[in-house]
Amino acid sequence: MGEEKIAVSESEYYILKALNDKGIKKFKLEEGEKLIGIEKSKLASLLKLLESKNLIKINEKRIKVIKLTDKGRKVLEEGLPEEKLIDILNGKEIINIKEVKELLGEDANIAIGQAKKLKIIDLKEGKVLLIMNYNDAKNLLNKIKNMLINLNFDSNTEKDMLSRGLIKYDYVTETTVIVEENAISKVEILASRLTHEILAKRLWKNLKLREYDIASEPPTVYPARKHYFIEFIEELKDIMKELGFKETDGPLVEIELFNFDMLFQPQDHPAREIHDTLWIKDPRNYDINEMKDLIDRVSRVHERGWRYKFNQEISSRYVLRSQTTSVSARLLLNKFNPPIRYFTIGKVYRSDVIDASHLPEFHQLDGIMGDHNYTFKDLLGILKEFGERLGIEIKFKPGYFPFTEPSVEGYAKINNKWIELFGAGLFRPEVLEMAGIDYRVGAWGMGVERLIMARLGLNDIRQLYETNYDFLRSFKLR
Amino acid sequence: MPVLKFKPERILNLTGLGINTLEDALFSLKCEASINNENQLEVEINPDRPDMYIGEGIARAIRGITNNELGFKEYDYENSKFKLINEIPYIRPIISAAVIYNVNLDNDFLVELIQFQEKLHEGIGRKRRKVAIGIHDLNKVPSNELKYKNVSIDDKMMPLGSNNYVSIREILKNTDQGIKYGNISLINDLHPAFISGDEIISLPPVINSNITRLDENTRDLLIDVTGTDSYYVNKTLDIIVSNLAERKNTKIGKVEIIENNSRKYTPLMEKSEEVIDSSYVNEILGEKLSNDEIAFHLMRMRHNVLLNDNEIRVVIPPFRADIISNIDLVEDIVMSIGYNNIVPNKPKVMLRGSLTNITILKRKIRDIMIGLGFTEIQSLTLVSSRILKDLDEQNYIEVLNPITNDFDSLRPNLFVSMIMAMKNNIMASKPVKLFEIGKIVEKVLGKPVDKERISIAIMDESLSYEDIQSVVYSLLKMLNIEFKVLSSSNKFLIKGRSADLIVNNKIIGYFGEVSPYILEKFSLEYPIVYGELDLG
Repeated sequence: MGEEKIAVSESEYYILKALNDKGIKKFKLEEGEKLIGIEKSKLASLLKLLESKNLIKINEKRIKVIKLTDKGRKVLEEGLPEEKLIDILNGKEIINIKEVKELLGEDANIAIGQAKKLKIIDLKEGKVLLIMNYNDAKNLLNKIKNMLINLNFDSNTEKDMLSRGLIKYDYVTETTVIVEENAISKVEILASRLTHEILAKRLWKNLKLREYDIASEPPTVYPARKHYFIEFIEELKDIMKELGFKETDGPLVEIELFNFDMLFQPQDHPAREIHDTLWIKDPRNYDINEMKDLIDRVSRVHERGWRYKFNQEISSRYVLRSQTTSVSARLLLNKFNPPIRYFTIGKVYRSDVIDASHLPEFHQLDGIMGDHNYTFKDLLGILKEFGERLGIEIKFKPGYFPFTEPSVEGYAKINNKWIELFGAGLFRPEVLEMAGIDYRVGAWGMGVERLIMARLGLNDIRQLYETNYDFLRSFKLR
Repeated sequence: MPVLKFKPERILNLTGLGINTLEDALFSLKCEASINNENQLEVEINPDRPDMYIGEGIARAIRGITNNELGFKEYDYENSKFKLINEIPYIRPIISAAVIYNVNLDNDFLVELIQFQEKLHEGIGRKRRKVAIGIHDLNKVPSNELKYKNVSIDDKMMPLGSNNYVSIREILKNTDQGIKYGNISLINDLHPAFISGDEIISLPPVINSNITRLDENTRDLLIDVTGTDSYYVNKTLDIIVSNLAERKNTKIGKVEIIENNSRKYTPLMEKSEEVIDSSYVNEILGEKLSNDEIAFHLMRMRHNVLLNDNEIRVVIPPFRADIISNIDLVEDIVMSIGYNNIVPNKPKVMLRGSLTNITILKRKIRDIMIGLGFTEIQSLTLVSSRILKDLDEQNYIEVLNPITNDFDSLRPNLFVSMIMAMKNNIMASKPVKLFEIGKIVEKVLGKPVDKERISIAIMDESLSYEDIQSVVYSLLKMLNIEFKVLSSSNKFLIKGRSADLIVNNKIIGYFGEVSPYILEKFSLEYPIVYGELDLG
C-alpha cells in the first residue's frame, strides 16, 4: 500500500463504516443520531474530528425561521383579542366603545382595529356594531389562529402578526455532512486497547493498536498474599508428611508433668525456675488425681534417677509450654504400636526479653519416631534426610538434653555459616519407662524462626510478625 | 548453657593442641569454642559435664580423645590431720571437706578457680541451694579443729573483702551475697557456719571469711562443700578435688568427719561400676562394635574398663556426675567414635504420613481468602491485659510472671490482634483487607482451652454489613458448610448490623460492623467490618 492510512479512533471508524454500509454520502446532522446510532452531542464532536482529517465535509447554512413570541404564545392560550370582542358582541349586535374598553382593557384597541380591518365590525357614533354573521366571523378568526399555530402565514397576515409582536424572525444553522469519496478505504483504526466493542463490531481487521512506551513504569498493583512465615511452616509440614510422619497437636497451656517431668527434667532444674518458666495466674494447677498411676511412675523414676524428693504439686502446675516435646510426651502415653512417626509444629513460650533475635513466643517442630529395633543410626538418617529435603547440609554434634541419650545437636550450613538448628536424641530409658513404652523412640525438636529468617534473609525476628499491609503485600520471595 | 572463659594459652598448653584442633576436639565433646573479642577462649559447656568447667578438666577429657591418656588415674592421698565435727544444722545438714596440697595458685588460675566455683554453684549447686562451696587458703586456716554448726546471727565474722568483724545479721542485710543467698539457710535467726577453732571461716552458702582468703601466693587449699543432698555434696567435692589433683605435684589430704558418733573421711572419691553388654550398645547404635572397641572408646572417655570373659565392666571415675545408667555410657562411646563418623541409615521403613484435619481445612480456607483478596497476617498469642481490659474481656488467661506488661496474657479472641493490626495500618492504602488463622486460649469451666480460629477484617473509607456478610457467606458456601444467622449482640459490633453464625445449632462465630465506640477507643477513624469463626 503506497498510501499512508489516516488514523482514526474506533468510534470514528464506526461512523464511516455505518455510512458506507448504508450507502449514505450526505446527511443532515440532526438525522445523524438516527442514521448512525450515536448520541447527537458525541456524534458532533466525532464528526469534527473526521472533518479535521479531511474524511468528511461539514457545510453550514443559515436559515430564517418564524417563531412564536411570548405574547403570541399567550394569545394562543387565551384567544385573539378580536375573538374576545365578537364573543362580547354576540347577541347584542351593538355596544358602546366605552363598554368594550372596560371589558377588554388594553386589548380593546387592537381588537377593534383588527376586527374592523377584517370587516367584522364597524364603528358608528362611539358604538361598535357587528356587521358579519357571528359564525362567519368566528371561522375567519379560527383560520387566522391556525396560521399562528402552524406558523404558516400568507404574506399579509405574516406582516400583521409581526407588527402585532405575536411572532418574530429567527435564524438557525443547518448542518449538512458530506462524506468524502472512498473515505472508508483511506483510514485505519488506532486504538489504545482492544475492547469488547471492537471485537463485537468486528472492527479489529482495520485496527492499529497504539504502540506503548514499553519501558515506562506501570501503576503499582499488589496481590493478596499468604503470609511467608506460615507458608514456610506448611512447607515443613509437607516435608514431614512425605517422610511418613503423622501430624498431631497439643495444648499451649500445658502442665509441668508433660512439659518437664515426663521429659526427665529434674524439678529443681534451673530451667524450671521463675526466670525461665511462664506460669499462669488462674488456675494455677490441674487436677492430676485422675493420672495417679502415671504420676507414681514418674515420681519413682525421678527419685531414682535424680536422688531427690519428687513433688506432685509441681507436676500439676500449669505452664505456657516451653517446648513442643510436651506434645510428644503426651503422645507416648497412647502406646501406639510401632513403627511410629509423629510430628507437631506449634508455638512455645520462653521468658525472653524482646530484641532482634528473641520473642516471648516462637514455633517449634517436634518429631518422634520409634520401633523395636530403632537405632541411633536411624535417627541420624532421618535428620540427614530432613536436611536434604530442606536443601541444607547438616552436621552433628553431641549435645545434652535431660530426656535424650545419646543426644545430638544438628548444625545447618546456611550462607556458609554453621548455625545450630535442632536438638535430637533417643529418648532416655527413664522417659520410656515413665510412658510405659517398650520400644526405642528417637526425637528431635527444632526452632522454626531461625531457619526462616536465614532463608528469607531477615535480621529481625519481629519482621515475622509485621502487620503492615503494604509491606506484607510487597514482600519479596526468595 | 554455661559459657566459660579461659586464657587460650593455658588450655593450649594443657592440651598440647593448636587452636583449630582444640575447637574441633571440644566440638566432639559437646562443647562449642571460639575466641571472643577480648582474646579469651569462650567455651559453651553442657550442664551435664561440670567436670569440664576448669582447664584441667577440659584437658583431661581432650587427652582421652586424642589418645594421649586412657582411663583415669587414682590420685595420691594422705591424711590431713584436719578433723571436722558436723553438728548437722537442720536446714543444711550435709558437709564434706578436703585438703589439697601444692595447688600453687597464680593470678590466672585464681580467676579460673573462682569461675569454676561459680559455675558449679549455678548448675549442680542449684544456685547454692543444693550445694555450696567454700575454698580457703589452708595455711591461713586458724586450727585443725573444724566444726559445722548453726550459729546465732548475732555472732560475728570477718566477711570476704572486709577487715572488720560484723554480725551475720548485718552481712545478710548489707552485702550483695547476703541479699542474694541470705535466706536459703536461715531459720529462726540461726545460720549454719563453718568454724575453725573459734573463727567462722565460711557462712555457707553465703560468703567466706576474709581470713582464709585466697591470693596468688596460696599454695594449699581447704575446701568445704555443704548442702542439702549428700550425693550431690560429695559429687561436687569429688569433681573439684579430682580436677585440682590434675595439677602437678598435688596431693589430696583427707578430712576426718565426725557426725552422730560416726566417722568418715572425705573426699569420698567415689567410683561406680556398671556392666555393659556389647549387644546392648550395638542394638542402640546400630553398629557392630567388638568388646575391645567398646572398651577402647570408654577408656578414651576416661573410664576404666575391666574386660574378662565376654563381660565389660566399666569403672566410672569420681568426677563424672552424668552417668545415671548404661545409656549414658553408650553416649560416651558414640562421642568417642565421633557423631560425624557414624554412617546414618537412610530411612527405609515406608509409613504413610498425614496432616491433621485442621491443617487441611486451614489450607483450603487460606486459598479461598486469598481468592477473596485478603492478605494473611500472623500475630503473637501473647497480648497485653491492658488492651483486653479496654475491650471489656474477662475470660482470659493471665501469665503469673510475665516479662513485660505488653505480653502478660493469652488472647481470648483474634479480634484484639486484628484491631491492633488495623491500627498499624491506619496510613496504608485502603481498603485494607486482612485475615488471620491462629490460636486463642479461653477459660472453659475454669480450665484453659485453646482453639483455632479465623478472623477477617476490612478497613475502608466507607463500609457496611454486606461487605463482610458477602465474604463470610462466600467462604462458608465454598467450604460447603450449611449455616444460619441470628441477630448478634456481640460487644465489638453494632447491634442490628451484626450477626451470629450458627452451624449445627451452635454459635461458631460472628460478623458485622465494628462499633464506633471500639473504633474510637483505638483511634481508628475508618470504619471496619469484622468476622471471627471457630475452625475447631
